[in-house]
Amino acid sequence: MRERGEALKPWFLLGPNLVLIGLLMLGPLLLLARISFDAYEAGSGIIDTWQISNYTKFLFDPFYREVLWGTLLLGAEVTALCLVLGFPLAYALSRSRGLKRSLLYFCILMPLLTSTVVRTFGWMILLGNNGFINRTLMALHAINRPLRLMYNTTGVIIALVEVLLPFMVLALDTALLNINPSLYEAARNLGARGTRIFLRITLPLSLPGIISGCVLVFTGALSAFVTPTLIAGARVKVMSTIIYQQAMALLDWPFGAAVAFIMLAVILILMVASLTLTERRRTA
Amino acid sequence: MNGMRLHKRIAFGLLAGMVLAACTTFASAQTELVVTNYGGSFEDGWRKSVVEPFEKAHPDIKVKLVQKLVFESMALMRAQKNDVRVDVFMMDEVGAAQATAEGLVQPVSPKTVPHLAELYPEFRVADDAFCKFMFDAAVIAYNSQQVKPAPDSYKDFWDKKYAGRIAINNLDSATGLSFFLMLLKTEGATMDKVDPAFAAMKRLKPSILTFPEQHAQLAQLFTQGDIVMAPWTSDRALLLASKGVPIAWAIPKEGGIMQEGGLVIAKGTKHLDAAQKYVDFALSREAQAANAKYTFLSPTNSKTVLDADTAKKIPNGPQMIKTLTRPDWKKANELRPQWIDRWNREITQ
Repeated sequence: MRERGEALKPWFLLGPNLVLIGLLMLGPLLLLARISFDAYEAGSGIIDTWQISNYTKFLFDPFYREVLWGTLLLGAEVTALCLVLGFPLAYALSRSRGLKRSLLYFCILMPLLTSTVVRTFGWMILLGNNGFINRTLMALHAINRPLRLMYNTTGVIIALVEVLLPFMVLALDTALLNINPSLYEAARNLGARGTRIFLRITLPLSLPGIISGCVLVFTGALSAFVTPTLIAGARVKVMSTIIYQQAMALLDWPFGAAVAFIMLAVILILMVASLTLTERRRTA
Repeated sequence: MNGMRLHKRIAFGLLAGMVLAACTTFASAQTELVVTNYGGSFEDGWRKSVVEPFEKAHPDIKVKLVQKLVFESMALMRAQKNDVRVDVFMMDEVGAAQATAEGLVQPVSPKTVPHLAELYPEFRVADDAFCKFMFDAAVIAYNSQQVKPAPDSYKDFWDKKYAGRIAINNLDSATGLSFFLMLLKTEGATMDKVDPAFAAMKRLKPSILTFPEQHAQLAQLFTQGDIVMAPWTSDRALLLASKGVPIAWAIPKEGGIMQEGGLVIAKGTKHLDAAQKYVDFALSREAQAANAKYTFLSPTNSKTVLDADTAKKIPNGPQMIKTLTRPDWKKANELRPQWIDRWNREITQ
């Protein structure tokens, strides 16, 4: 009796969450999946039918394929930058104790207390042609014409890295904290130096954190909408802005839904692939 | 032991919540009318000029204002078709026409909305499917300190001295569409033959700093001085000017486009009477005059008397109404997807 209770426990704990996800996430997704097979006619509305032309329209059009490719590239760039910038920060965070750690932790979390819209507007003020950065550099005569930091991919990457960095740091911090400090001591006792310790101990053992941080940042960058829209406008096209344009401006829900599912499929494939990779490493 | 206590506490919390919810349901004998509006600084003006006086005049009706952009409204109307939660939508002509075409609107009549009879005849729509409560003009907005003399033609955008200091709204926004329609006119193109307009845009492309999508972006660009000229609407330019930004608007010699706003009652609303009263109130000359003062939107009620300052600032009056171009929005709406598709590939790429 008691054993059965134990076996049911995980389900009991998962229950509320599963119900919520089922109702609020799976339900709408199924609805959206159905819509993605409908047709749309401008001026009259959605036509109830079954067809796959929304998917083929996207996949066979070089323009849309380029948008997909560009979005993945942007996500990869943002993820790589977040990893490079986030690792030292997470390392420092994981090695500090007491008040210092609390303060550092708070500083890393602080950006999350403000909405992305507000932070993006902040970046607009900093990055504009007459923005803070350009005006300062011009005043210092470091440049004689404004750097193009906005209305292009550069600006989007800068802002997205700032927006998503906390997720990377927090994921890495958890992994780094899990490394037993006596491993470092043992390595030092056996004569290993800093670089070697990093490459042989820190890096491999923090891999789960690196992977989960990368997955969080990458999916965040792929689905970002506010930042690319506000920083770059229409010049930088990413999947989310295409979905918005189709669904909201053109009211073509079927095509918008199809694009959304293509994006979802790509994210799922990448996520499952990277997670299996870490699992295999761990069991190997 | 501890778990037990937690269960009890949760159960008690739920019960308390249910009782509270039940109380509030019984307590509200008032009709709650849910209406959308454009939000932002517009909402402040609308609240002052329409919502507050309306609630004072009808104490039994409580107006709940929610913020929705036109196309969000359209999406919501489709979604709530079988169980209407939002009673009155504020949307531009394009959205309202689309909603009408999809059979989502509850038409009105001078009997249910008496102030309809006072509108300029231009603002009555077929079967009074919805009510046009305001208009503004899609014109050229410019930095009044740096652009002298004021622009007098759309061709000024092609002037090399403004290269890199102009923005053109993306075609998927209302402002962008109006500019494109004006471009058809200046380039001798038509809706069926848009090639000359695209050719002109390709020439302009290197001069364009960015293609904004939202009004807030244009406001930011003008405020920071990143751009000195852009196609925009009279009311938005005036709203920004009222915050101290050196910005003015001008109707070029080729003309401006009239953009009209409608109040649409959702078909199947559970508060039809209150919805009609609300729309009627918004069309009254007092509400229209107040709204013109606070949000710079021009009145559609011909009997509206504006104060001298507002009358000087905003486009208004029968003469102005005749001057502004009123495009065939229905046709534009049908062709828009293919224009945007081409625009995505040729202009913003």
